[in-house]
Amino acid sequence: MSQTTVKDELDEIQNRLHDQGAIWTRAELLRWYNDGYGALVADSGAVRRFYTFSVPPRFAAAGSFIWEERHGGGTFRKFMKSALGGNIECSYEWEVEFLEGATPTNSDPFVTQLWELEYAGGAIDDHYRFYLPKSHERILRVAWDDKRMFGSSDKEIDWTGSKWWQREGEPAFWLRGLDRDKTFEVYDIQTAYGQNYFLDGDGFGLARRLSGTRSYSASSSYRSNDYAYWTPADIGTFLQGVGWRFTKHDSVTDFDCMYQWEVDMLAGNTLTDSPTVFMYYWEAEILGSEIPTFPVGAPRAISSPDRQYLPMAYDTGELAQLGAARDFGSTKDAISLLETIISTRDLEEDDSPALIPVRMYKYLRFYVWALAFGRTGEGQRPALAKHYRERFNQGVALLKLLGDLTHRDRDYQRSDLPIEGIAPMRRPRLPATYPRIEY
Amino acid sequence: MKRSDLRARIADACQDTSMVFFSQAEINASIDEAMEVIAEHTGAIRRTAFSLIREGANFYFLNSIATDIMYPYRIWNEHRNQRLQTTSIIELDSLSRLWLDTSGDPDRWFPVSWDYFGIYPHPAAAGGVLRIDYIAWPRDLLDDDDDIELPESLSDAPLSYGVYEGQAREWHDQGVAQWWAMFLAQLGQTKAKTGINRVQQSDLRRRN
Repeated sequence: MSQTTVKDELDEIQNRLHDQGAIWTRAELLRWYNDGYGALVADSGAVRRFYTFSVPPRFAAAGSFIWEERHGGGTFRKFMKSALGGNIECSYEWEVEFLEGATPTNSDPFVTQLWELEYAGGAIDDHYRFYLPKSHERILRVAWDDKRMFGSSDKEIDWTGSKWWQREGEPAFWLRGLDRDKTFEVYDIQTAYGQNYFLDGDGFGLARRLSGTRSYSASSSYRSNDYAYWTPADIGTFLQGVGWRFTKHDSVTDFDCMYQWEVDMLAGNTLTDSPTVFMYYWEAEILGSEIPTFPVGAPRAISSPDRQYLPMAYDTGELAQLGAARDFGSTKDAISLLETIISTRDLEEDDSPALIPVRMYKYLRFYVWALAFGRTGEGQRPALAKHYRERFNQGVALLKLLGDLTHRDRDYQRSDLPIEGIAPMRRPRLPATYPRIEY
Repeated sequence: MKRSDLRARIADACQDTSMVFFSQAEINASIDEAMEVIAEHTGAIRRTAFSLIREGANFYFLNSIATDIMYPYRIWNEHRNQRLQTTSIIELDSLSRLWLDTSGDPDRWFPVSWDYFGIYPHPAAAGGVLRIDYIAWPRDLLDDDDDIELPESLSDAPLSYGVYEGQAREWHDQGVAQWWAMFLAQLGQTKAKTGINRVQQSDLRRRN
């Protein structure tokens, strides 16, 4: 079965309704279609993805007041704390003491962005909070460096009687957090700045080359360019196919050079030995040497004997599964999440609901028909609305079942819970009279 | 039963033999949809695929194995002649905190999402094949001489579904309820005949 678009589905829906927009407008049907898509994906919980976070946590914007979020865009962190009944926003504890007429005391360091922990010179008096992506629905597993972390709660950990959110070490616990929704916290905390992959020049399209402490090499089944060219001006209407530019552009002199020594000469530097420049792959036969592969296009797959590079599609656009890698993440020395997700945005007519199996698109039609026949006014058919609602619910149940791919092969049996080894670590509770312990 | 025969019977039952209100293409689509619904409810269509065991790979996407796969029900390691046991991420976490880094011959598989599953441990080198027996979505019928993939005695189920679809196109509440109920009854029969009832009765006698 080929992948159909929302447009095809809406045509089919209108066909069943015998209406071309007079009673139920196309925009209204599209809204319901999106509602059904969201309900099917969210209620089934069957769409699960991995997501990674570098440490310390990052966010797009930070502000002093919560209203600034409206203008920040993306994830937002309010880094100040309210005082004096919300009339004042403070950075440090001593500010409150001063404002209230008390003697100021030394306060913990303060940062705007949590990555500044690297430079703060000590733990801060704020929570180590990660901001979940827009597509996030529910956390299933949190891991540090691929090792599962234990779920806990602030109430449980508070019994330790310490500022646990300042304790540095290997992250072992995660908790829902005390602040805004769609965040979670971990502890112990990592203050050293970590960044597994960095998209260099991310304003210039897709990643073309990978480099770093690991060794990367490219291979391509397409090894022959159709033409070679000197400058972009050579690309005209007469040149078709894949081109290979064999020159380098020197932005200072605005010259296009074939060899590195030409660049050196223009810059007045010592001339360096330059490798042979090729124009076509077949030149290897004449020169008797191997020419580096001409990788064409964007990376389509990455493999390694040591680990798996796993493609994760979060969006749901047109032919989303056929796209290119837009971002890279790693679980190495990072927080990774297994989560259920929903679509990040509403579908347009050219899109496909790519987060669900193609064969289940029909359940979205049932959802739209349930709402269309249930709406008060002309065309209302309560019995049909009820019937289609039931059929949609069957789709939710089916997708939920498919979320557990082993359900047919699994022999269930009663087990003792909690499973040994995944319960939160027990901590001693000392009497209130015991001297305070600072970590 | 061929698609043309089934289509004619649906048109007859809808009293639309000329296929004016319920067109030929629409009836064909309803037959394909009927087979999908039957497959979803009964798991009656089973197929097998091979998938190369890839170096370092813990996770396998269903669409890289077969286009019609609904879910696997048996995974066999051809290299070791061993059925992979089912497990779960939570069980693996309790087994070893570093299970994702563990390499070796895979002997377990576990669910992750509807569209991919995992194996444990992951192989350090490529080689060997996983034989994956799976419940499949049906293929769309290609032409009028194409047969539905069900025992001949069970062709009543797609017939009922087709008529139900015809009633739905007419917004005929009672007809929809009546034919849907009939389809559900036949669905149960289909599930039995393609499942447990395929086994000879003698094999299921009480042991003395």
